[in-house]
Amino acid sequence: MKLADGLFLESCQEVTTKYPSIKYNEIIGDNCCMKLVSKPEQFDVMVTPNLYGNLVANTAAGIAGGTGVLPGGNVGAEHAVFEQGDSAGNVGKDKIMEQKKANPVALLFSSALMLRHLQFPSFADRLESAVKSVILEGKSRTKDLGGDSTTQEVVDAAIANLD
Amino acid sequence: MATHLLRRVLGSRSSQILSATNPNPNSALTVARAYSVDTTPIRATLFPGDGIGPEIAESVKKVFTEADVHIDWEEHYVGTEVDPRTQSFLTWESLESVRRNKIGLKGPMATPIGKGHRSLNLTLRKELNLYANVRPCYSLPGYKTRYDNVDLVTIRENTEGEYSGLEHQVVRGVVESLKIITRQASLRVAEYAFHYAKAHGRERVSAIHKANIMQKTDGLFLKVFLFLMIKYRLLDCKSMLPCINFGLVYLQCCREVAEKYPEIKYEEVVIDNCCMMLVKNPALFDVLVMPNLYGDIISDLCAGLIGGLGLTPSCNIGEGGIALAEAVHGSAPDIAGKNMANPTALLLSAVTMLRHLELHDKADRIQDAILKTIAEGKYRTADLGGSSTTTDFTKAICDHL
Repeated sequence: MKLADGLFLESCQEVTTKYPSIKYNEIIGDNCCMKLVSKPEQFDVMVTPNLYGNLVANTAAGIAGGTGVLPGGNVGAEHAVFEQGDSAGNVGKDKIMEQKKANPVALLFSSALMLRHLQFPSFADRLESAVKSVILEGKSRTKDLGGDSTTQEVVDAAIANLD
Repeated sequence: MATHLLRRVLGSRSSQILSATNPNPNSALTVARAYSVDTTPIRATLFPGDGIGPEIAESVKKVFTEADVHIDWEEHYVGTEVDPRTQSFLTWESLESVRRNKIGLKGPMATPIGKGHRSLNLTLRKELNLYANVRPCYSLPGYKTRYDNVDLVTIRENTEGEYSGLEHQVVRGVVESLKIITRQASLRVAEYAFHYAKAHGRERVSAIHKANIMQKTDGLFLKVFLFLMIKYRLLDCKSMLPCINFGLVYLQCCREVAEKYPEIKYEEVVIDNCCMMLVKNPALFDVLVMPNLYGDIISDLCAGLIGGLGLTPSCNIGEGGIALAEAVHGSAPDIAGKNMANPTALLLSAVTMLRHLELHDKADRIQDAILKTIAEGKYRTADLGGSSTTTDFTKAICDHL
């Protein structure tokens, strides 16, 4: 799609000139997905148009652990709204709601992103390391991470880990 | 000769033969099978291509000869001048050859630079009316990737969708791109998908889309699937299961039909879900059918799951039963002529060609030999982490036949 995606690339190239210290390269969507599944560590920050972004974000999320753990945010000129990274497959599961077994990790990380956006990096760091150590320990994990805990148990463990 | 024609006719119209209109579909196929002992050689067009193309094409010829597959290869090369009849470097004779033989194998072709001609792939696609790109993706035993349990087939609509080439600048800085979905093209690829699933014993066909957002275009693509689901139900093909996610209008119809077949699971798959599920658990999928853009991305993603384009077979299906199998990797000019190239992709594509011709026994023999050779690990080309030459690898496959 030479004109449409071409315009997107032109715009990116214009901005890149203002940040000479940051490396910039371009990659075609299908090639990108292929590389993501074989060697995701080669990517750092990826900027995409709308549809490809949806696909790439969900692919990357699947590789990294799923929608239950990944944070996200929506940023505008005047406002910002933070939510879990992707909603694929994790919205409206009545059974999980009833049993109170939803995974709160994604939203906790998203709130850490919000704290960073508000320029409270130390609070964000504390929150993130607490949640990360809970996951690392492996004792309090919800079903999508292979455990059997409830939401409350995960949150309690995170609070206990706050320093 | 007559049997050869019979097989060709059945090959291209087998979807109709398999339908309820033919009173004895089984007998027609057994007649074809009885005559399919290969005494008459099959004519096939071969485009060795550029770079490593000729070397890997040699491998295919060697393996086929060893396996007793009688194919008369008509070799064609990309010309050095633009043929005005085709507006590309592919000559009219090359295209006529494929149209006549109805079967072809294509190696990697380097894209010639310059203007005033169509790209090679575009020429082939338009002139031969190649409407479906089929890629069987299965994990190769012995070649470890992060995913061990991949066994799926991607079928991508290859003529329209987002790649219709209709873009225009509205004003400076604003571009519009048209996505075209037609009932005819959707029906054609969907019919092929169900036919393929039935012919190869697959159990599920999933239609991938974003009809919740693109309600009219993807919605039409899905409506076609509902139509076919009903059609195949009438044939009592209970193994046909489309996993469909409809735009809001068709959701109700889909659930109603699904209710009549409680033994079949009902699933809804949107493109973003599909991506996520593919990288978390590719075993969830069987046959995927997609419009052009999603198909482009998903089929490359699936190739990445099993080890990359160097190992992925691909086959393009055209109107009138034409099948053009191809290796989708590049021509690798840096290793051309050095006997280092990996012929796996072209070999596996040639196997899909044999399956299209319904020579399943030969196809299985050759495929098993290839998989065994890779699994053993003794002979592997450089890209798979080994140090064998192309000829050694080919010989190892022949030995395994």
